[in-house]
Amino acid sequence: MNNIKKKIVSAITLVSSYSFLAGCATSHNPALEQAQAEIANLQSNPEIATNAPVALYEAKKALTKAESAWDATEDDVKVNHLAYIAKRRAEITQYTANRNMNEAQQKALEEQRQQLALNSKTKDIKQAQNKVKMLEDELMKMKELKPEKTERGLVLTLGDVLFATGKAQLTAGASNNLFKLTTFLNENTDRNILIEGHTDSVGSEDMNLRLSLRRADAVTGFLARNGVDRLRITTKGYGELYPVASNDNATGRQLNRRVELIVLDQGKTANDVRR
Amino acid sequence: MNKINALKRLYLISSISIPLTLVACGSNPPTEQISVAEHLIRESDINKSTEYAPLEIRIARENLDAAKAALAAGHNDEAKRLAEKVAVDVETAGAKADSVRAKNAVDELQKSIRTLSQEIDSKSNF
Repeated sequence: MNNIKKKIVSAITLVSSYSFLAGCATSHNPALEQAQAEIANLQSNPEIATNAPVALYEAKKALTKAESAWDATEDDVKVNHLAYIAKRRAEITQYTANRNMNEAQQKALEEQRQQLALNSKTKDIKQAQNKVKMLEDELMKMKELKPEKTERGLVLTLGDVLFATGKAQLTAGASNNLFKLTTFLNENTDRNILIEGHTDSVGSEDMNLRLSLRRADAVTGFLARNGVDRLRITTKGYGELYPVASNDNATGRQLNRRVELIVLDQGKTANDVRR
Repeated sequence: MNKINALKRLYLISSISIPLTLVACGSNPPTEQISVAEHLIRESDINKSTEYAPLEIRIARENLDAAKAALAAGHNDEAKRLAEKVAVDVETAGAKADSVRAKNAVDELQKSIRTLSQEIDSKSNF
């Protein structure tokens, strides 16, 4: 009986002493608790562990140090200090993760930009090709000038009727056609132009040579007056050397009296297509 | 037997605690740690951390001043703790500055991508 009493008493003492101990354990350090919360928060975010594993490890280590100091001493000065370090480590972890994520994004964006730049270039090239095609399409529509695609370039022919008889002056009709032409040439400054004058075989060779050159010059002058850079234009007079039809009849001779205007392919000069 | 054990324990405890107290009282002045802290702040100036993390650097400077004051007053432990704070403050500022810089680079890239996209879009209107 006595024994039982003793046991009860000792049990009560034991319980009360435990509860006293528990009371001690509930005393707390706010700085430490804040650090614990911040680091727990970081740990619950998988992005942090992926992007800042070392910093997170250091933060946890700093926290453990603060916790151990608290468990061992409850010395507020020391624990506050260690909690401060741990909180800073938590901030460093967050910043490091942010930085690494941003740098990864930077890499992806860099690639995207390169792809875009490439697309842009491809589009430029396509556009340039389109422009060439557009110019040629427009020139091909100028039926009065008998447009023809040849190896030398796009050849337009100003027939005899576009000149005053035996002279080098352009008629009003010729001016209209040529004016349209200058618009396209001015929009496509990368195309050089070769202008060749030709005649029939009537009259002296020397006179024909001079007439062909004068007529070619008249065309060049017209283009230049309408804004086409003279440096793009080469002018030649061939006289009766290159007939396109027979000189034995009037129709053929009329065809032979002509000025050919050759719009050269991109990058070509008159030398590349010389007769 | 029990008595001898108790005596031994007492001896053991005193042999540990006495030198511990000695260390605590006689800790060396953390002059080197403070000069390292000063150096770190100077370096953060050069790295332009101040531009991106002005508050952290401000706190670091305050902690440095406090560390110097504690050192002058002979509070070596406090001075040492403050010097440690300065080091971690500066590290935080550096990490923050780096993260801001990376963010800015991303923003810059996004902007240039937007411009480029607009350029390409306007081209296709041809």
